Amino acid sequence: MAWSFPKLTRRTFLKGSAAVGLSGIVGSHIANAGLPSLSDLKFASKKRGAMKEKISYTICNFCSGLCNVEVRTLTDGVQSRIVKLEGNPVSKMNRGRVCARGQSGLFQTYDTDRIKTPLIRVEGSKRGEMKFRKATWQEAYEYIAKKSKNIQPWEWTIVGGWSTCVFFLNPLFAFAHANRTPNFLASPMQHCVTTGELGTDSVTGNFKPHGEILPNYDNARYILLVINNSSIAGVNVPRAVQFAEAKQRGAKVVAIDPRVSETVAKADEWIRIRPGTDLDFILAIIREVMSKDYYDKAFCQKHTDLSFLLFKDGNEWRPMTNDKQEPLVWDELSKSVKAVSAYNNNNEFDTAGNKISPALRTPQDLTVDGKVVSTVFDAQLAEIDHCTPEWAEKATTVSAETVVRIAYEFTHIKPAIIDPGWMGARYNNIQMLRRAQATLQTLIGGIDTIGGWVNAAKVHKTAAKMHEAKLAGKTMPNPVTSMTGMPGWKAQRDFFSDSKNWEHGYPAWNFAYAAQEKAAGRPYVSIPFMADTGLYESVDGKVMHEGKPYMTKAFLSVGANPVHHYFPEGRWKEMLGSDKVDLVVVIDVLPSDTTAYADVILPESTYLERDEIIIGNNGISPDLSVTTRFKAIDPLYDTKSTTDILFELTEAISGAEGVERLYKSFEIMVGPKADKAKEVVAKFKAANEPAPYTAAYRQMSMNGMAKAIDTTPENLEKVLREKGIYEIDTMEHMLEKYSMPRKIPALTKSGRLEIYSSFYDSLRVDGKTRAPNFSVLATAMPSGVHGDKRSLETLKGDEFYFTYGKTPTVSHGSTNANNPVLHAINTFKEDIYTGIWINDSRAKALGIKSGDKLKITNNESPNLSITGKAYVTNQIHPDTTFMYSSFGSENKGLTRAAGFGSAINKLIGYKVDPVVAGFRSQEFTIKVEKV
Amino acid sequence: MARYAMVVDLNACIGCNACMAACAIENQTPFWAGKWRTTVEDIAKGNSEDSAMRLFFPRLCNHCDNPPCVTVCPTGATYKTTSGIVDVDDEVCMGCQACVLACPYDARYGIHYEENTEKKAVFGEDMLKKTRPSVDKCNFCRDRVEIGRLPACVETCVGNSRMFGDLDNPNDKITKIVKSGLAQPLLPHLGTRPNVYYIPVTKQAIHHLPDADARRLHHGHHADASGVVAPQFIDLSKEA
Repeated sequence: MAWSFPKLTRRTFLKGSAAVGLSGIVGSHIANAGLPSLSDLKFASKKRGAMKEKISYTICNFCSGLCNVEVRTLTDGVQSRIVKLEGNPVSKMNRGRVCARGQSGLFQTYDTDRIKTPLIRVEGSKRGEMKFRKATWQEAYEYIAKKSKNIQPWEWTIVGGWSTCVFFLNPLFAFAHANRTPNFLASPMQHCVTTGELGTDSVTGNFKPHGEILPNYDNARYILLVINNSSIAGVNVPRAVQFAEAKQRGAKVVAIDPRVSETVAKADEWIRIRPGTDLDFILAIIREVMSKDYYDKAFCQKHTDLSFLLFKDGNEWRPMTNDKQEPLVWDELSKSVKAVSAYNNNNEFDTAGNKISPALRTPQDLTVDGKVVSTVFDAQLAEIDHCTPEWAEKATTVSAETVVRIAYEFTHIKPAIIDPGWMGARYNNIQMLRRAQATLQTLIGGIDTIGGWVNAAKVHKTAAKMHEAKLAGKTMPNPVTSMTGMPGWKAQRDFFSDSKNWEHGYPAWNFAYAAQEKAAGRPYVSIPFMADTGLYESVDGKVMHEGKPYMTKAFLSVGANPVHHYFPEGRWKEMLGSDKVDLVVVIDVLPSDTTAYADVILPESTYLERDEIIIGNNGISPDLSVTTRFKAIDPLYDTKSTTDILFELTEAISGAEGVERLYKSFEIMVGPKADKAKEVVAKFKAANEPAPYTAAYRQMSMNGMAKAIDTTPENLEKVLREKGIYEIDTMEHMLEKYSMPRKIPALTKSGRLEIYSSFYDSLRVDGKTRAPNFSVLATAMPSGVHGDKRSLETLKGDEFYFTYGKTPTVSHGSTNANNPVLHAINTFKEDIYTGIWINDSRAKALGIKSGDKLKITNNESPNLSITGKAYVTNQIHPDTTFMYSSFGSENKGLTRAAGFGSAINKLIGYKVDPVVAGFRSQEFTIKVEKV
Repeated sequence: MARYAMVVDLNACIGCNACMAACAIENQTPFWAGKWRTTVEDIAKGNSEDSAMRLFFPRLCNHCDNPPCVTVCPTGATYKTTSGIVDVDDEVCMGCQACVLACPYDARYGIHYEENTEKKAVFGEDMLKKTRPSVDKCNFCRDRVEIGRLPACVETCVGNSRMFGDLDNPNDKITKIVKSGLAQPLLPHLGTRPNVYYIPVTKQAIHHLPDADARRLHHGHHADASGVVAPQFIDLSKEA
């Protein structure tokens, strides 16, 4: 009787017990309770104790934090099963911890919804209907070969997702190169990397998607956070573990956010700001710091360009240089103008070798060559002189006193960090905001130092190599993949944008489109590298190149899910579903919303089922170390590793000739020599290795890395197998040798941290600044929600701002919403995670209660709207609503995620910035109504 | 001999839910049915926009020294080990769920027949630790602790909020924290003598708040409509 197990909890019992006795409830339950079935009575035998435990190491695949992971697998010799993942305990990054996604990763591998064989769309069905038939790999490749016969190389577009971006960027570059496809779209660029980080990087010279800076929270005493829940508690474990450590050691945390995010919940102080006005707040802080001399004067003099002289040419600031293009400064010691080296890490000596003290502020009306000059410091301060705390208060709704106090605290509690922020692509002014944050961190000397921002070890190593080459007057070999920072990024975009690099003469369509729009006098994007601007027009036949239509007729999506993570989704459904598109190939693990639009789906092995070809640096770690992935189990299904797919796909698309070229492209962009690679691949093929290309490149990578770090391949592999990480040098040593720009030049043009930006200077058109986005100095600009006006009014009635952000359980736009464990957690928190957050006082006025069904409509594009349940809370600014961006998958193949929550990209329209086509995804207000 | 205990620093829990996932996988709980040995509640506090507060509240079995669940168990399936862990023997448990009702911390649940069957498919039949339907609960990952490893939730705790140790060891970090009075147990007045302690949230402020203290919770226990009992918050600065 006991095992009838009444569906009774203590709570329901307590509610009902007054009226009905316990036995009454149990009795009535038994009457209709299903008794255990025969199979239920067959308990599993306790075999576990007889299984052997095997430990292997890998790298997590669910965000660019790249946590080091320890994998436990049980095996009896016949069957093996992964039973548990943990953080690698020796990792200095995630320190033995992983987040819920990292923990649940094994259930991606064991997800019964996985794509288990290649699939071909059923004849007669439409893309989007998700009607597929099983196929062999050979059938799938033959299908692709046949369909791609009439598709020109430049008519292909490759869409790379965030997971491929991190692990397969160089192999994918090689693939594009060998197949002569200049069109490469990478999903996180417009969402995070270019949009926000470029602003940061214009000051520091870095540029390495998600991989350049790990703030050293461990040693910080004051932490200021602006639009960056995702980089800390959103969650990024390498950052979050240090952040928590800092908090437990007593650091003060101040968070600026319209909402109590997971990160704000940990702050000592929440600065509840109106959405889109963060730049006003930060500029007012900078003005306080500069005008009250709160900055680190010695550092600013020595390692920044703040002392360089500028002159006004009409409305444009220009560098004042001598005839050798060397910057001029005002020397406080000799009371005269001196020249400093055009490329150096410091301003200690003038070009004649005299010790100088370059002034940050100049004597009034100082002239050089008859021109009135001003230091970068004075020019920058003048540029934002109107940004007073009172001015900021009007937009931010944060009191002027708070600005004054935070400016004081940030510069007087040392060391301090203003987090560079992540995934901030929201408004037209985000790049400027990130740049202002970098300016603030520069002013306190907190760049590349303990307790400040610290560059990844790999960035340090590569920057040092580039510096040596530069001093020797040499160029780096294979610049597309061998460099880092802004110069490395420039080499990449030059390669894909210059038609001379492609024998067919077509540059990437985004550059062709930008040139076309510029020539026609229409708005255009200056650096559309890897951005989607022009794609829609290209599919539609509206992009012309040298008088001929530049069509996009085929897509290859590699681990990307653009239907879910680009804005708006309708645009992607239309493009992928277009009759003008002849072929859509998608490589993925799970049936994402994008796979529904494929003609062919190629199933990928998961990160736990494959050895990785890259033996590389340990992610964003500031400690120099090497790591890789070891497969824990053989692939469960008929899946392949990406490298093998790329080679076989090349054969299908470009034939044997293409494969020859791919070996050569791998030599240039990945490393291993082509001839040797062919030999090793043949050897593995002869031995019936199921993943011969992966195995071959893995072996060669191991050999290459061993040589580079001066050990044997056997020893390197042994250490990696036993510990997961091969340690080479510590953060402290790296900083002693390579701190930028304290020890070596930064990756900016001048080698100093640049407040007058040589990068934005280079984007001037005919010597003129195109828009405030391109200002050579940090400047005030509105978010764009109210056009070119600041957001000064309190929103009323049913009008709200719209904001969104990440949950800690689902990576942006990914299929891990379908992970059974993560789905269970999301269900546990469904009201908060899928709800439309709305301020309680505003909700009350509209008669909205938690759980009410709401329809929210984009006021700028009223055809865009979504529904969801209200989550009424006091944890949000009265002017705004908020939604998590993790949900709303549609593909029914995702049996758990489909239909769970709403997708924000059904509400967000298409709007991009003029610099890099960064998404302006919150630049609208919404109408809220109860339905 | 040991007296295992956990200290949870509420100032450090970032609400990432890693512990929930780690525990569900390590201990093979029927998470798909909403059954967890540990959860992190996401609690909204404050009754005005000026007192908004978001509290992440990790919950689990409190491994009481005077456990009501053991007292009521008719078969002896629920017992307390000499190292202080309260555990359930699935071979002896008859599923009456008296313990589920008796536990004031809502830390227990039944694994039904159909869930027990489903476990075979979800976790792999040969990999199961417990093979029978029974009442289930946190046992401080006893099998891990016995071989010198930390409980799964503690090992992966991103915010270092969960700390595990032995109160019989005077040098253990958590012994010192508990002795200092910094951490307090839940519902101590019930006489259950719990071995899970919480360091309360100390100080938070909102910029536009006239009274910076308004974000601190008042003394006493808060049980909301769902029966969730929040820990007792004490203004440490005033107490000291």
